[in-house]
Amino acid sequence: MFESAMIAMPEVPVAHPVADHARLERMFAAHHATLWRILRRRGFSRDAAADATQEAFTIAVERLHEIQPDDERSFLIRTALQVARTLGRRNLRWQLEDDMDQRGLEVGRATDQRRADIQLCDLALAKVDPDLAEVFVLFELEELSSPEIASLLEIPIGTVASRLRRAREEFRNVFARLERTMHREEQP
Amino acid sequence: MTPRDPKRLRMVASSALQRRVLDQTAHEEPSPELRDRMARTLGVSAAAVASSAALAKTAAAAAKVSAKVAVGASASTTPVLPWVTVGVLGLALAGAIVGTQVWKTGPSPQPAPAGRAFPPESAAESSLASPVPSLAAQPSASAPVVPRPESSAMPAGHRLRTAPPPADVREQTSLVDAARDAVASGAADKALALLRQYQDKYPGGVFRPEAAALKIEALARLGRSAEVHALADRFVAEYGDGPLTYRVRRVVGSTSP
Repeated sequence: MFESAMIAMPEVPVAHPVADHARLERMFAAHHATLWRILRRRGFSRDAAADATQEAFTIAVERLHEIQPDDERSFLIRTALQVARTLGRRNLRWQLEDDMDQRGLEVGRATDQRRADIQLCDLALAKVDPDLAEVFVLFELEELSSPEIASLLEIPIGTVASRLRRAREEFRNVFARLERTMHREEQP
Repeated sequence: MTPRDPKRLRMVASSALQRRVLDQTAHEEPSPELRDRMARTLGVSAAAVASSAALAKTAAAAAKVSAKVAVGASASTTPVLPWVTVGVLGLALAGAIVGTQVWKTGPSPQPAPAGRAFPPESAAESSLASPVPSLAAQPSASAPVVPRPESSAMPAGHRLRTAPPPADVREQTSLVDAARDAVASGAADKALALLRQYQDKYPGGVFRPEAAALKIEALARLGRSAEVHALADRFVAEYGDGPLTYRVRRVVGSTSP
């Protein structure tokens, strides 16, 4: 009975299971952290980012045979971004209050310096326009090239350049504000 | 990065704090528990991913003691090492392969153009000047359908098919796994011997690209940078961009020829 059921599902390609699974394993090993980080920068908690990463890979599994070997990373990132949008990025992005500087101070004083640094970055990113922040994260943190980002986001390369320029400007301004506040607080 | 791209802010920002913050954020990683949870849900061998991370760190440590082989700093913090493991075989045997679950509410990414579904790891497709010479064609495995064992790690809702791997795949996997373990433990000479054994016995082995990448890794650990560069160039030429090539590039890093 089980075999009959399986035969009735021709849409499931099973050309080379070992290679398929080896490929999935390689894709996961190579890209899961990238996807998770990108989702974290969108304001997802660690757990939520893991769940959304799983969703992106689940989609990739379903479409494994459609993904060109040289397009795996782009496919996964594009999918993760779409998962983020589906889940409502704006709802998940940090809800900043007007006393953002104070929050910056708090994270800057955290005992776990590494975690504090990351929180500080997210704090600044949350103040950047989401479309600009998206390009900023892909370029500055994940080190994708401008052409890769243009292809991935389906926007002209000139738009990538202008968004990156504006994102940097916004990020610098927000960050400088946070730094100034921290320095002020450190004064006796 | 293209020649027209500006330098990354975390390298050139005027504020030291900004550089540090960006750098820390760029290297944030999911915890091992989260990583394993994701892997389990997807039916991926968590052990493989974990050992990949360990291998990356080992490679980075080795680079520090070698003046000739300098692995890039990013490789030391990013577990990007796609390896085959016994877990692959076990999962394949368990039927944990390519389930389908209709994505009803989620996004619909633009599909890549139809084409080759697999990288040239099916070895049958490639007889180019390869890092592992004299490799021939590998017949693809048939894929009979059997029920899914209860022990499968795939999530509920996935319809599974299983296909027993070719008879020799188990041994191929064991050999490649042993070579990977040897590299990870610093026994690069042993790894090279195992890889030679693999190449001699399975010239068209399904894990040929993994074996070639491992060979590059082992040579890098031995400081044989000229061979590393030569093989890495051939690897890239043969396989183009892909996860393994990505890994090879990271391992080679800024090695001086």
